[in-house]
Amino acid sequence: MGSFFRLLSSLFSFGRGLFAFLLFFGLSYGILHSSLKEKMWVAEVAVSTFLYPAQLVVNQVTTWNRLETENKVLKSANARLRIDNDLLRQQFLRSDRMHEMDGIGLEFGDSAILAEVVAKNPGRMLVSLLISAGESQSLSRSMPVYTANGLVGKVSKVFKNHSVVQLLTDPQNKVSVLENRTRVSGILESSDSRVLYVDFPAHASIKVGDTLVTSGLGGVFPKGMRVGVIGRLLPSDIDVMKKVEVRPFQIPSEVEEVFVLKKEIDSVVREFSE
Amino acid sequence: MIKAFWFLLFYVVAFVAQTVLAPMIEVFGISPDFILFFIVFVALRYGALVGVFWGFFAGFTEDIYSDIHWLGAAALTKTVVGFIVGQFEEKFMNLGLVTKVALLGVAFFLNDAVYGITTGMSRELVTKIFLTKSLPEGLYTLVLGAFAFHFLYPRLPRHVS
Repeated sequence: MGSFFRLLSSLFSFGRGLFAFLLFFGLSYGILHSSLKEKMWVAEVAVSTFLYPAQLVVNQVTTWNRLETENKVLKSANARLRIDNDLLRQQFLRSDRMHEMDGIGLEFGDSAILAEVVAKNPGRMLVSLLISAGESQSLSRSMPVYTANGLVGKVSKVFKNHSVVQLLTDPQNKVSVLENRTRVSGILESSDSRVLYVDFPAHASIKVGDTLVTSGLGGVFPKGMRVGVIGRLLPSDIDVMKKVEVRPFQIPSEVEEVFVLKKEIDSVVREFSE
Repeated sequence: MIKAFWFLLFYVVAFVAQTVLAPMIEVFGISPDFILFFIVFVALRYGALVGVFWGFFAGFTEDIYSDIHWLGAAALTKTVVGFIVGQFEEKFMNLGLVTKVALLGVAFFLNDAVYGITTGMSRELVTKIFLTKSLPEGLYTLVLGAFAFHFLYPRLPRHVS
């Protein structure tokens, strides 16, 4: 047994790690060029086995770190909420009418479930989160994810008890949005995973401070979910467009709990994409 | 077995630092890369074999939380980084502080360049990411790396067993 390990060790050390390099390079290349189904299988096995202890450690450290701050915040919030509660009782009665008048009322016929953020991607670009709900809670791909503040992203991968959320800041994620005042729509995107941009037609009278909501045009997000506010007008690369920088209502790095809206992609859009 | 435990412990520390500490010390949205730091550290100290294995492992972990279409891209990138940096293992050559920090910088840009090529990013996007992320984050990592190489590195055991 000992001689087997010595043989294995010398084989791996051959050529100052050349054998090991070729082996792991080949393995990575194989994974990279495998089918989507195989990739899903590899990712699921990794998440539910060897990555689970690492997630537990990170969660524990994060929890300790935020408990003290949370306690202070909760005490002051509790006092404020008692007062707000009385006011909200009155406003609640008016809310249905307000939605009708608004013209962009949310049509959340489906239910939403609460999930906790259990991990964030360890790379330098914060583009995704891992949440504590998956297939067991009837989650599926492309379901919208949001908090009380606003839109966070959408579900991109679903495991048995976990899901990966693709954030708005992911350069691969593009969301159709609508400016609330002028009703002009544009595409929200990020090229560096930090700053969000939207290109609007140059004639649109967009101003700093205008609010953006989802347009519902992509079929993934329902119309009217709060996205962010226009922070800056920027010179566009193209004359016919007006580029704006968007400050999201929900800062991605500060998300701790999220709601997942159990909504399938609109059937018309699904048929079109198929 | 004990050796593997030590490396795993180092890695968990780097992973926690990347997910918890890095956002806290972020300056204008720029934060250091502790995981790449870890790979360069172990590759220089313990050689290419260790660098390759932990490069693959750390990259694969990063892949799990990223876009499923590019699963394997970060693993491949960090395997390359671990192997190349491991060729400068201090068992074979005597490296000063400046050389170690320079190697960290080379590893940083190599990492971003290989990842950009692997995922088929356009030249414009690679240039933009290089200017807005790689360059400032690379410099930030180098500053922290210089301190770490000076104070922490000599305290690590030369041979973990």
